[in-house]
Amino acid sequence: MKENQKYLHKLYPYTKLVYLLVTSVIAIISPSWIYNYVLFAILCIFAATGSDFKPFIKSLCKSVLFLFIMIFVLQSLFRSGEHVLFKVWIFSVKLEGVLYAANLCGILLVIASSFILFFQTTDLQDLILAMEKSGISPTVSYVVLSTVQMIPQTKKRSDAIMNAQQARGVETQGNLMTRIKAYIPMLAPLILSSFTGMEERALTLEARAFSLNRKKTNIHEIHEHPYDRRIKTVLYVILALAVIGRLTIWH
Amino acid sequence: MALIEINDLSYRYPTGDDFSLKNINLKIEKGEFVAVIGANGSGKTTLCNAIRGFVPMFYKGDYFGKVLIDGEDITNFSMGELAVKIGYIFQNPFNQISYIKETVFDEIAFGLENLGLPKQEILDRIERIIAQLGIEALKDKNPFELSGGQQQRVALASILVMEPEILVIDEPTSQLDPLGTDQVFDIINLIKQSGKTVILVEHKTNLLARYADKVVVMDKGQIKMYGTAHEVLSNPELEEYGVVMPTYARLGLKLKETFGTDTVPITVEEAEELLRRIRKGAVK
Repeated sequence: MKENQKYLHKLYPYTKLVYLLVTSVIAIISPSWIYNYVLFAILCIFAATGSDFKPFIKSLCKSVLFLFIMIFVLQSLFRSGEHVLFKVWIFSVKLEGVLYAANLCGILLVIASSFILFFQTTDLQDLILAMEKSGISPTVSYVVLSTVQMIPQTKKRSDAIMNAQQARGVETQGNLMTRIKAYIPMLAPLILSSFTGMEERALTLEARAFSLNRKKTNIHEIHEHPYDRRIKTVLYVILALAVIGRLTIWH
Repeated sequence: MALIEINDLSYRYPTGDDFSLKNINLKIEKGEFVAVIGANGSGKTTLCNAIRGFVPMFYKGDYFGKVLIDGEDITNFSMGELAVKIGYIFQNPFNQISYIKETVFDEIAFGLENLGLPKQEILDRIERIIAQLGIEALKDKNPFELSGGQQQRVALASILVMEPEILVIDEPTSQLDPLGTDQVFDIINLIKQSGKTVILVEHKTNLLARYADKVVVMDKGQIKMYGTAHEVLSNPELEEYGVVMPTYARLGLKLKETFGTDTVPITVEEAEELLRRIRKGAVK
């Protein structure tokens, strides 16, 4: 992980939260969809230079591509308007619909790609560390971290249960209906086993003195650099300019 | 005054029909290595929970009698304070990880971070325990991705590193191969020699014969036998409580039948000594 870190990785997590805020706000208030696509292009440049471009685009496609197709199809076909671009059988594609879809997708695209870029370049442990530094309780950080860790764990356990049920003769392969049916004998053991593990987890926390009322140490440290502060200032200025501009001259 | 003193303790889990511990009386001195043996369901783990204070502070239920640590009632301590005094390593290694750390190194650090020790001391202690347990290779691995035996060692390291005065260890070798088991016993022995008190639940009587000072035999929630390792482990009554006697004790009992020897050995050294005496004709 650490070896292919680029400049976005080195930023303090809060700095990146600020850019997340700035790009999202600008995406929402910008008067025309063209600005959002420019913003997206800028984000792409950042992703390519400050992170890994390929996984960035991949997760972007996975998360929003299907949604975009739906929005374009539905909006361009069913939004009422006068400027008919072309007709397909009884459907007519209207200019207003296409523009509306482009606008909506622009906003989504900027917000989605900002978030993806944020999580791609920010180690969750670092984010939590920064949050702990600014005073959230260790209990909150435990809840967040253990929830995130639980996802791959649960996946692993559900695979194990699936295999066990298959060994007992439960049909798990085949058409959609069989697969859905196969989920039922898997869910009950999955949920029950996570409950039984809960008790031991609580005991583990107790055994490790988690409930001890002392100031906890953290062996990992995270520092805010002077450049983080400068970048944040610049971002805030951009945000202020955008908001003021939108209220006055930016139409 | 004994370090741990249990007075007439009886306890029933909230969901239990019968009492899991019945009129337990036990005194454990500082620096002793006490082994707890008995069949499954005889109350060994519940006894450990009672010494650690999880019974009755975590598991509610009917609780009679008292557990004293240093003369103070265990319920007067908070769970956090007890974590500093008593290390508890429980049976199932798979759930004994914090679930929030991404490497074994950080996992071991978790308890020390909670104790609020200075960073440098934490790092030093972890290096030491990792070397002691021979888990250098696991240092950067994800704790979720370890085998049972590896997780068991990490669980042991995570508690040992906190250096509590008393250690309660519930079957630490269930997932380990014979070599790993020997290693763990060597480590427990080192801990004992450093003056700490150890309470260990374990079925491997051959190893207990070698290391334990005292042995408690439990059956159906009661203490049936209690005494020095030699007294208890050489006693044929053991088998009534579902405990397999050490190999040399079984040999010793046969020798007693055949040759009328006066002692029953429990370790290889004692057996060797006895056989020498038989050969010399010292014992007829």
